[in-house]
Amino acid sequence: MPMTIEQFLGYFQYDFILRGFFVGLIIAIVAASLGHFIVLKKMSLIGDGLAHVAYLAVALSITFFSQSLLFNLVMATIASLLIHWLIQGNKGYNDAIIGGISTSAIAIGTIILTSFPNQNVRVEQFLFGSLLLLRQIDVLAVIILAGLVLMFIGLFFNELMTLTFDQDFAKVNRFQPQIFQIILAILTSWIVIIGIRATGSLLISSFLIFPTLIVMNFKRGFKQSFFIGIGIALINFMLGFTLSLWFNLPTGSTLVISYSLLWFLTVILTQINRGKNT
Amino acid sequence: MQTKTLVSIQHLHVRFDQFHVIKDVSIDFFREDQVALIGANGAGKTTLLRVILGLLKPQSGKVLIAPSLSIGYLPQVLSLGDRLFPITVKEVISQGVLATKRFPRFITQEDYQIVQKALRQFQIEELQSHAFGLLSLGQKQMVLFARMMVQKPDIVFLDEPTSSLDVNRKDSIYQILESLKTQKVPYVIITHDLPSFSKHLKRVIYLEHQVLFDDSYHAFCENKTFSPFIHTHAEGHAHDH
Repeated sequence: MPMTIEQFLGYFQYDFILRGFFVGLIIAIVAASLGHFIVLKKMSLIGDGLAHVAYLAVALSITFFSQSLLFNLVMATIASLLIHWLIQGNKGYNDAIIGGISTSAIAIGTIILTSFPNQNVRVEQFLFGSLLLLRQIDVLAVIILAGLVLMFIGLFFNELMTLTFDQDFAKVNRFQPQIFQIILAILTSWIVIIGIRATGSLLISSFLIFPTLIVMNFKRGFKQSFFIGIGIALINFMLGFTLSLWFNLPTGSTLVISYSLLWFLTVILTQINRGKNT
Repeated sequence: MQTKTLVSIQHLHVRFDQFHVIKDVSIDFFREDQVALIGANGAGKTTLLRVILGLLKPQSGKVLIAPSLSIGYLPQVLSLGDRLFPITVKEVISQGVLATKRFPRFITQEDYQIVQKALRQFQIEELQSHAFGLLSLGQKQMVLFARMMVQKPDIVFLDEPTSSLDVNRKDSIYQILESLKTQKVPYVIITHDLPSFSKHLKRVIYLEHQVLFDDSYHAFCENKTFSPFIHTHAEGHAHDH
């Protein structure tokens, strides 16, 4: 049953709603910024793999390390280095390797969570997330991470553009593409580990992927697409968050659905446009 | 004639598992060079290029590069730019300027003018805001060439520059070679299409895992061992006129 506008705005008096809105918005923006390079460098699957490993990290930290965020970040960093290393040594079968790692991580994580039941934690919470169950420390973590990511991208945007477009050119001209790729993977693993409480490990990679997937249909420049992608993430978050509160739907899933609808819409519009031009 | 060595390859060996792709290869490239590096598919041409560019580590041997030498590299057009990759022609060329900088690599007003000048020089001004992925192969090649030239290279390596272009579109590559000659930039063309470049070469290196021939273009045409090449060369010439 939909509510009145007054009832809806009344929600924002609650701390946990405001916190969810704020953290979710920042995660959406940071994920879109990193996602631009991840998607165009064809590293999307790595993001997806990291999301599943993050589930294992969270399961371990809940069960053995009293939900330590630091432990999660360290685990995520190790996982991203490991995935990067495995992929380097095995050219051509990366998707299979990541698929293997992803499913193993989910399996081990679920066994840990069910073998050591915790009163306060349900498995679905980390598969699908909940923006409304965030802690103070999540707010702090997301602000620090956003600062780091935006600084990294701001300082090295041109390097990232070059290596995303042409790895060989970047390497020949000493842009150190491998180091940047590792940093991208680590930052992605951090946004995943912080975002997992908000959106869940099954859905977080869509935050990385969709903005760029949508913006690619516009066929603009690299820099322009980067900013349009962030704009799309912003609009999508406001839209999805509002809808999820209004109709009492799970927030993460609502956001993903509105992303996929936007994507579908742009694909259709491009097809129509192409039809007109020919 | 000045014969200063720009790049010197010494006793190079590259193996992929058991396969010995490059066997004791030694080649010097000079300031006045206009070279074709030829050989069959799988003869090690691209592998050699990747070693020179520092993209691949050899098992043994050395590549000595003159200090502060800038190496230009024109990749195969097909290897780059998916249709959907969002990047403009201007952004691609600006990468050449970025390559000449150190941290922080920001684009200044001055850099922007270098890019504009290159766009004019190579007559691709009207393409500057186009998406690179939607260009024709000849146009893409011109853009990548412009990116390379803003780096002010001292020597240039062109990887199979005609392989993805049909006969009628080879003009863009001749335009590129003429422009390199005017600017006195030595070049090395990796190709198995020697006849196409007959008018633009001084020297030929024939590679079959090792160097089987390294002398002037004239000497290559005289050499009976390579008559199959000369035959196609004659055909190519007839076709040209």
